[in-house]
Amino acid sequence: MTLGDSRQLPSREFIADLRSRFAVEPEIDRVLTRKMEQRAGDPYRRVPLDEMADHLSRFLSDRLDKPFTIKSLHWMTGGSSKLQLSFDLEWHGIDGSAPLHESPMILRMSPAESIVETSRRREFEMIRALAPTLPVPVCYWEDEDAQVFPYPALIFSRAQGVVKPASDASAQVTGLGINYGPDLRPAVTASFMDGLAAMHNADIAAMELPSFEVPPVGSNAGICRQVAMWRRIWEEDRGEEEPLMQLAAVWLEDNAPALDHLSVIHGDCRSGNFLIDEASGAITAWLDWELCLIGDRHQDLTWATSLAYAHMAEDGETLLVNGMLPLNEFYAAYERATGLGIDPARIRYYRVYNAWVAAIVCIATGYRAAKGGKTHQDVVLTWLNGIGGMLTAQLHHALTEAMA
Amino acid sequence: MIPETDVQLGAVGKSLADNVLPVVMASGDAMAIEQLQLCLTTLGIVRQRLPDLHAALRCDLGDTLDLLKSISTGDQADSDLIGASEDMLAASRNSPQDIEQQVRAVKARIAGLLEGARGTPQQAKIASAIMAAQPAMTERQRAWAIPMGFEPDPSQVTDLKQLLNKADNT
Repeated sequence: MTLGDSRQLPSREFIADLRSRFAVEPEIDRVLTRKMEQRAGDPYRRVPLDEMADHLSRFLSDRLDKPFTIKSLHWMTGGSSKLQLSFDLEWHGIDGSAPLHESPMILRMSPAESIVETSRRREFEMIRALAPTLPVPVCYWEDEDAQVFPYPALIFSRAQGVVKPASDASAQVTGLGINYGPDLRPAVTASFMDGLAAMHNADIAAMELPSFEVPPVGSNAGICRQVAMWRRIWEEDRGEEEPLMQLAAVWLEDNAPALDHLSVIHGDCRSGNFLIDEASGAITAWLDWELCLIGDRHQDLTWATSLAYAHMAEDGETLLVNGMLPLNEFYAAYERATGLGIDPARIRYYRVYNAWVAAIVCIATGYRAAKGGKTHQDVVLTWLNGIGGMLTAQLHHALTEAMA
Repeated sequence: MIPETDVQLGAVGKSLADNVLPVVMASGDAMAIEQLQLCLTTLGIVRQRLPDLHAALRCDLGDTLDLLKSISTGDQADSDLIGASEDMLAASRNSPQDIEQQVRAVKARIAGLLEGARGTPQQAKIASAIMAAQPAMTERQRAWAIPMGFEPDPSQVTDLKQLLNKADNT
């Protein structure tokens, strides 16, 4: 049996070996183990809309006492990770006390495997916990164990706003490199910094997050857990070993910095993962929380300032990170908004970490999910596989800087 | 003669673009439209790159083999792997899949050598060798994927044919 086969048809021993070698948070262990146990099973099955309507109706019937009506149910496009259905719910509110009214909703569901295998439960808990301090959708229910829906699911309100203004000319498949334009850009940037301030200064002790571990400040235990998680994912999903990826993993373990301040980390913090009001530029909802965790703010900062989400300003010379500001101005705006300092050594570390993670997602997990026919858009995943060379170059560059 | 793959792929693409795409577009099904367009583009890139697949994989094997030779401890397993890889490069009839498997075996061995050297003086030497060997491999991957449109400045990436020709001449 080849190495590829051991990952495509993993034995119990193979799964147990990876679990013992890489210690991760319990909820993440549960999700990754489920992925591996189901890998040899069926590919993703396209679920007809009528069938989804039946599942949704049954799910809501079990949770709502008053009558309700599901309207305008339809599949949404965009993104490369999860399936999303939009619908309007005519109901009396979650506790049945409100007059009959319509609420716009989204049902977010995992495919059989995904380009990032994550917990709908963690996403649900984090969105609810942040709701008092950050514009996020109202999260109503989760079905992480797929007791009603065919796959793990989450239901939340459909927020108003757009991912990018109508004037944006960029056309990559996952909304990378968004150009907000010179008129909206300052307002979007200010709103983005306000959001980072709320996340990175969140009172974590006061938040109800039972599916998360809180890493100790003054120790590197948290980031070591994260590196172990991604090493495990690499070992579970890759088509082949890559010496540079192995080198990066070793370097990240050997150089893991101690945590100096606890923050809520979005995990995919960038333009394209929030909605804006097209008139004012204000962020109306932060989206896509599936990679969220409690950790080091430099992770979000380096993710947002990746070249993948940058574009040239109207002068053709100034690179705007995250479609917002030149890098140094971006950092200064962050420090003003959050009151938190930026440590260049940690920035270098997390540049390596994020480049390594992005490469794992596109080279390993995207490849593996498509190979098994596990998603609703395998062709998008194989397309994203093509970004591997660029991500590897980014990782090499980050490592060169960090090892100097 | 056996059917010409390039003509077959071209015909499939044309059939989908001329006859299927208009119907899907008229349906208004956004996901179906997006995926069919991506399928057509992917098909075009595969058609464009297929003639270079064998040469590109041989370059991969050559580069990874050179890296392994530079860090090998000289044990029997390494000698066997190096010998098998050299035999494969010397032969002309190996399939792309055979070469791909050999590349995987060599890469796995390199990663194993790095893991085994952790905490020893050898670790830094292996790390330096990997860092030095990577740019050539990465450049080829980027050149391969140029038609996919991810590169912010494609003019900075050398053309794939030039890279493959250069490898042939060294």
